Amino acid sequence: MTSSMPAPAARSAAIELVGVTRRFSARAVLDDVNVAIAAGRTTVLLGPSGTGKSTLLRLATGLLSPDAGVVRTLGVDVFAAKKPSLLQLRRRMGMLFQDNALFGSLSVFDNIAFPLRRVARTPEADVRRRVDELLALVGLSGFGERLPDRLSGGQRKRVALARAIALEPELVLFDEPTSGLDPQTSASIDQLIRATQRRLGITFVVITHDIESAALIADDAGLLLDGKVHVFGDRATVWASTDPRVRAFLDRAPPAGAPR
Amino acid sequence: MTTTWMRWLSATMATPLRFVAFVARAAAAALRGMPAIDVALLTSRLLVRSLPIVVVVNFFCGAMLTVQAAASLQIFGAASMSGVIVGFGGVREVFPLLAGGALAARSGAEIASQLQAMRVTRQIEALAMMGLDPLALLVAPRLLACVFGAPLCVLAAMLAGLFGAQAVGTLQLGIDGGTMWAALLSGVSRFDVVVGAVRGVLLGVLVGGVATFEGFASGDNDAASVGRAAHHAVIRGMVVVCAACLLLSWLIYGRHA
Repeated sequence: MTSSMPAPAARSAAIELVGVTRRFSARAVLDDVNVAIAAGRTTVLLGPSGTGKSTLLRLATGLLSPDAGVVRTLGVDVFAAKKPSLLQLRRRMGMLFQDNALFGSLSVFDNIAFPLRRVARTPEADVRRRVDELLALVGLSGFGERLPDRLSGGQRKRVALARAIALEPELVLFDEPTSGLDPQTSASIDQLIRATQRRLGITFVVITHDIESAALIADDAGLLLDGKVHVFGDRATVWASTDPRVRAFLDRAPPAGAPR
Repeated sequence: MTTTWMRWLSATMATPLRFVAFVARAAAAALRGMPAIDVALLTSRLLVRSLPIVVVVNFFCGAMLTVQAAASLQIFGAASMSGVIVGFGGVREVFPLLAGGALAARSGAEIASQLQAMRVTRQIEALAMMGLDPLALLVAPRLLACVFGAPLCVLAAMLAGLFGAQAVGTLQLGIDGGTMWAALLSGVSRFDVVVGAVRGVLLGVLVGGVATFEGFASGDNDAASVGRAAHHAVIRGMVVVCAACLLLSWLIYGRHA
């Protein structure tokens, strides 16, 4: 299916963009985008660099505002919401940033405990139990006292995931989760994302240009090209697409005219 | 012609207006309340980092002012009265001004670079994504720390300047200790000390406001922006400190000289 039509919302939509346009200077990074991302599944948004994938995530969280259109996340109209409602909405979401955005001066334990202490005001005994649970979930038991800069890239990513799901969100957004990681570490992060989504049953939205990673974790997939959602559907349908531009991206064909 | 002027005026006033709105929002967030422990820790850190430089700079400045005052009063055979000039001009003007400058250079630069580094590494977005208000969590406590810390820096600057003058007056110029100290204090009134503390609060708002504005609200995301934020916090911080001191002097001492 192509961009001008909204995706079928057979299940309830965790994120819905209707006629969304976002420009930077004169350039429309997203141009009249319509898409509905189903709840309870892992949706991967693919696309070359600069096609608006990160912009789409930031619009869904209210970190950026659109020039036109409506963005509904977990049923809330993000840009009609007042600040307290927006903060409340964000507490129902988690986000794993490309560079992890861990607090460098805090230990791994304190990074994961941060939202529990500062947002949920969880009693300290429960904080310890929950952080230990999360460390075990991401395979980092015993790493709690380390500082983030004493960890490998893959371990930092695991800590960021643990922090993102600490408040038991309904929706977790991943911005290039395997960017800058070696293939084996990337595969382990992919497996962790897949296993965590299966275990928690919540909505994961992943943006990446890593096709192998997408093939492993996606239930649904979309391809962004030229500021539009060029194709969107379940993974099998997208991967079977015969659209030449979809095939060129999935088969990693270099663009016409690229130097050899 | 009118349009050109309007365009120039709006371009010139855009940043100052943004600055005022930013400080007002941070002050409103501070009034809504925040963990006292955060403010206490940040204030003590500001004092630990800034007080030593404030004291050293003002001690030497008091000493230098005394040397120059003595040199000029020597002509009239009144070198022993050099303390009056240092006490008068130093406590009212020079020492608070230097305290504000040292605060901007030490703590202003630190606050701006810290916040901008958090911006570049997306830590501020991460806080926002947890449903927290980064302005209330990061900016308001730093602004309050400056407001609480700056008056102490100004008062410490006054004392350090007077001790610097006393040291040079007695040890180098050979003025009697009691005469020197009496001359220094004769130029200082209780009103001057109160004005110094009030001036400290204003300098705290300005230095803290400029530092947090440069670090938090620049909108840049590149690595070089961390250095730029620190640089702007120092330069712009010092300019507003000078302008505020001039304005206060005119308002207070221009009428009560």
